[in-house]
Amino acid sequence: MDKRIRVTVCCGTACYVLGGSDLLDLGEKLPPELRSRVDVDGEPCLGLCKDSKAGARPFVKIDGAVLQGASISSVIDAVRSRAEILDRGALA
Amino acid sequence: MNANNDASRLRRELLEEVARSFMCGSEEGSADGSTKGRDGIDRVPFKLFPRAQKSVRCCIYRDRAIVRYRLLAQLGFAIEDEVDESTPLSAYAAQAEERAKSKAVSGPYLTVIDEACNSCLRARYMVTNLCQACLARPCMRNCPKQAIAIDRKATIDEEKCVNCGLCMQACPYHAIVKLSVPCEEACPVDAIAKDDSGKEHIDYAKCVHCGKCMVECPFGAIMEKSQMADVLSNLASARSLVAIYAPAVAAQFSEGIPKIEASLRALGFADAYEVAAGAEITAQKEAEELSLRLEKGSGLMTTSCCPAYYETVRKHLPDLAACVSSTRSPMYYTAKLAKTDHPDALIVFIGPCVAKKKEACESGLVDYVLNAEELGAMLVAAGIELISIQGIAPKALAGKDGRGFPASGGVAAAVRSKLTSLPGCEYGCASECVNGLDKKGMARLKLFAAGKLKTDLLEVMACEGGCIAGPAVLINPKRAQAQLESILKASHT
Repeated sequence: MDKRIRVTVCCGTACYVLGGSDLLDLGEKLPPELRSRVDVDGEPCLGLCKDSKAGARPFVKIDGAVLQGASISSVIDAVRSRAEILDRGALA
Repeated sequence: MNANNDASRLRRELLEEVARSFMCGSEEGSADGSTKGRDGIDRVPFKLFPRAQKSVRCCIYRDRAIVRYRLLAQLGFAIEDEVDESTPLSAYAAQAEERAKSKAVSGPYLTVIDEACNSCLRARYMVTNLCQACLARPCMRNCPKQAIAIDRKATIDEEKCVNCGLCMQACPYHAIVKLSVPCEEACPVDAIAKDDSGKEHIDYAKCVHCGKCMVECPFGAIMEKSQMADVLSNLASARSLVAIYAPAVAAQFSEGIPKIEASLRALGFADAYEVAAGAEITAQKEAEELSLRLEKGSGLMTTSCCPAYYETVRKHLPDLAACVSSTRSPMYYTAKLAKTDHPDALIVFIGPCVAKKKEACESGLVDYVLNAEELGAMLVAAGIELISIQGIAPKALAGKDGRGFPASGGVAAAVRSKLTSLPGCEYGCASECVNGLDKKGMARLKLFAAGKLKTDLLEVMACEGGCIAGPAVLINPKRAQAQLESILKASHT
């Protein structure tokens, strides 16, 4: 079975007001082939907005890796590459 | 345009900086936080565009200069009023703080940063190199003004062209494009136009403060003159402030009304009221007014709660004036409620709207207006997390009718709902909506004014989709609509 991918959306106010609101629909916007293996959840505040080196809001974590300035399309891209890495690992 | 783009992002980030500079420097533990903040604001243009940063425009120096003007508007000053270019932002911040003591706010409420204006090419149709100078020549044949000539490539005679666009539609190679000026195209009342140098200027005698130019300008050259600095200065003083927030603002956040109530108190407001409470009163009074009109057969009545629509009638469609309901807006009735409970407090309306600033100023009841972006910036600057704050139940004054006002069709639905419970009006009435004052909406409104279209109740909203799609929102209207629906589900009828 495919390894599952965990996507954590920062639901803090600071991310929400800079475009994070768009990410709340992520579950529905994932392409069907990814939807079945991705778990989307939200966390109150990932704390990244307080770190000036973390980059631009909104923040999303994909299996723990931070994606900055996230949008629906950049999250889908990142999930897709994560899936490829996991699948390659499973083949090897 | 998508509510989340790089121009709105910059605007919101800057508002956060302004808010931070006005919130007493608690982090620094300084006794004189405001002074510290005022110095801080001078550094914002450099913080956003440090020397190593890639510039958005020609160079970081221009980017910084424009950021300075954005901050000027956000501190509540019109760009046009600048007398001395060398005055530091901190001096303006000090002036804003002084201004806050006298409650003085004035229009106009929109201001153009000429430095940021792109001087877009004049709107017209243009033939590109894709033109094949074909044999069929549908552009030439379809042009009603014989404005097109073809010599190896089609050319348009600008003197003859009336910008009908038929040539563009006819070209099989899509070789003809429309050059647009987004602000001019968005303005429903032709209030924004170029000067000789190509820069845009607002004619305030025509402007209805709908805010569409501000939303649509891809360069973010049009800014709202903010009252946030005034509100923050007063919040830091001993004055008592009461927030009245629009249902469209409640729909901006996914956590529901109790969390918004709590976060407003966390910001320092002494009390909070849903403007949906006033909307219940507006709907009830409009229903009563409508029942009288129906009885007398006095014809069309339009809603009156959208201030940009109201201004449009006043300035551009005087024929419709007699049809506009004389009932006051939800903001007005809510402010009255708040003023009764808190006679000495300053009343702050929070909404998604630019035009409300003018209505508030003229109401004599509402002292300040904040928009959803400014509220968002204040929450972020104060470090308030809606998701983890303990909710406070709102006063039980608003139900589904009032909370449903901010979506297109919501006001008409509320008035009809109240109407059917009035004696003799069980059958309700006919109603229509003008959903957005774009060119199409204006044309439809003129047909109603001329009596060519008829109905009993006409709801008019300047923003397509309603207030949840207002010019100063934080999220996309589709998301706000979904959040509004979940608020309505949790409301009583």
